[in-house]
Amino acid sequence: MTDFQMDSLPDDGFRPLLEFDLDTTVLNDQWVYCDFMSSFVANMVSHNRADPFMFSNLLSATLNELFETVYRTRKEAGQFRFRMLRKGSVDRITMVVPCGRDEQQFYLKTVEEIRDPGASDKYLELLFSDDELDRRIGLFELAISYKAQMSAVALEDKAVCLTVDLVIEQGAD
Amino acid sequence: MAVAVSTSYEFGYDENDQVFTLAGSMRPKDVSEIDACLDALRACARQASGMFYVNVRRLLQSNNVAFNGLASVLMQVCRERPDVNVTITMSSVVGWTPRKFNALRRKIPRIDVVEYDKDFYPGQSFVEDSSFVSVLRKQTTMTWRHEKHILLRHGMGEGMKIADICCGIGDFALLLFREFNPTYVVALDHAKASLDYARKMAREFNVTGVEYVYGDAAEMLLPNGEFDFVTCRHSLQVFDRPERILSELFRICKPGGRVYVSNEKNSHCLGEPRADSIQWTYNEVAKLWKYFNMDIEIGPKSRRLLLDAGFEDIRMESFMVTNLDGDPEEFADVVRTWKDMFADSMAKERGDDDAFIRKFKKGFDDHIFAALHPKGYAGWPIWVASGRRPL
Ligand SMILES: C[S@@+](CC[C@H](N)C(=O)[O-])C[C@H]1O[C@@H](n2cnc3c(N)ncnc32)[C@H](O)[C@@H]1O
Repeated sequence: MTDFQMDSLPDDGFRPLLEFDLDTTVLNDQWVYCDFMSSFVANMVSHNRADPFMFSNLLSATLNELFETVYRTRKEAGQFRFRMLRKGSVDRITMVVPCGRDEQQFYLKTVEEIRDPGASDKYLELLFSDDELDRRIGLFELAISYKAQMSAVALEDKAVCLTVDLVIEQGAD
Repeated sequence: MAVAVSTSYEFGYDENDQVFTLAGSMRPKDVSEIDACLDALRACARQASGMFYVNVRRLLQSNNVAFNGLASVLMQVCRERPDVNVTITMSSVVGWTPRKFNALRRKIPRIDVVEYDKDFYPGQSFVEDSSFVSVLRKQTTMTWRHEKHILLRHGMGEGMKIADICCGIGDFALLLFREFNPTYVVALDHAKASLDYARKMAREFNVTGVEYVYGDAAEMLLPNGEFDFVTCRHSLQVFDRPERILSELFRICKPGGRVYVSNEKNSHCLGEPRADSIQWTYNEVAKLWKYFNMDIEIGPKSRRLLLDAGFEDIRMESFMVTNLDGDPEEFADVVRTWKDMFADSMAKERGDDDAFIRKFKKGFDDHIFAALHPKGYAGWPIWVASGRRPL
């Protein structure tokens, strides 16, 4: 069992909004959870934004891409942890995904790739690809289309922690 | 938050207009799950001639699996049918769509992508203009004096869940909130400047129970049967097809709940002295609106519109806002803003000549004269009507 304490992660003045844990076995066989979780979280944290509907629509789209990426990750038994924090107009999403070294590499490498100068073109290539959809698409989309800031950290060799900072609504307080 | 959460999608084809419509939420795990939809899209596009439209205005969500599938079919159609012009109509209200479909257009310039809400409604640019804000504010101050009593006769009560559609600058929603202590108010409009203003006012007055939402009244993303009381004031008149808005008001109203509309008949604005000039000008106002496909004469038609939309227990009454209600200057101010909007923007846009515009303005000036005259009387009649959605 991996059980990393997210509380130990620095939060830079971010205020926690919502947090949950989910057994990876549940996540492994329930695709619809991606949709449920993104719709639920988006609705929960959008009510006090200037335009709650627009905010929730965009947040749901981005969260769903993240959850789908996690779904497509070969996970180890343990707790998937999700946490959402907010500071001003920045929403921070942190996720701990229990997984082995290969999958850690997937996240670390993709987060590197999205910083490449050619990342925009790469995103479009993935988006309109004729082949089966590459699972990097979600992270590329967040970085390119939503200008999200992302980082990934390996937690020993048992999990990866992904942090995504998103600004969906400019000027929100 | 009152937002429709949909985990399923629908599609359909209107052969007449060659419009393929997708609605709901498409988040398949594998593209094969939406094969039926993609096959239908392909088949419809193949037999189309000339223009082929794909309407995603109510496609609330789509993951990349679905988007990639849709894009592939559309790219294939463009390759196979160089004679067909594909246009995607999306709504600026559904935030994710412009991001992705504009990327598709950049990839395949032959695919046209339009945000339909911009030029869809006649006169949209007039009523979404931020200068319109001041007219709305003064109007509401004057109508509220009457309506706060009238509303009670139309079923308004405490503790309700209310929607104010085409809320303008949101002042009516705030007044409702203070007067009737609702559990929740959602106020929707399509003018961003007005909504910004509305949110600012709500903050100033420390009201947190009103949610201002950007949306299109003809295709709202609010859930079915949600609200006890739905209001739509002075707005059916800005649409060329008010019945479309009414069917949306009907849809979001709870069975047993009521929809309340208020409308004008501008040609019945009146004043003394100088009645004839005033009368002439307001008759011209009605024609001017008609030229832009809007009906400022809708007031007395409200009963029929509500019945045709399926409502029952229709209640209807009219009231007259006059220069005697409060400060006559207020009345004069409203007429001044009408004069600016109708004579300076709309008549000019129609291409009217100077002589006409001069005469047209004269009637407004005379209405102001009547309002401020120590023995004068000036009026602006309004019809309110409400109906119950059957159980
Ligand atoms: C005459 S104003 C009435 C505003 C408000 N109800 C009042 O009484 O002060 C009409 C309103 O309809 C809004 N409107 C126009 N087209 C719309 C649409 N498609 N969806 C939602 N609102 C729309 C305009 O932005 C404008 O605020």
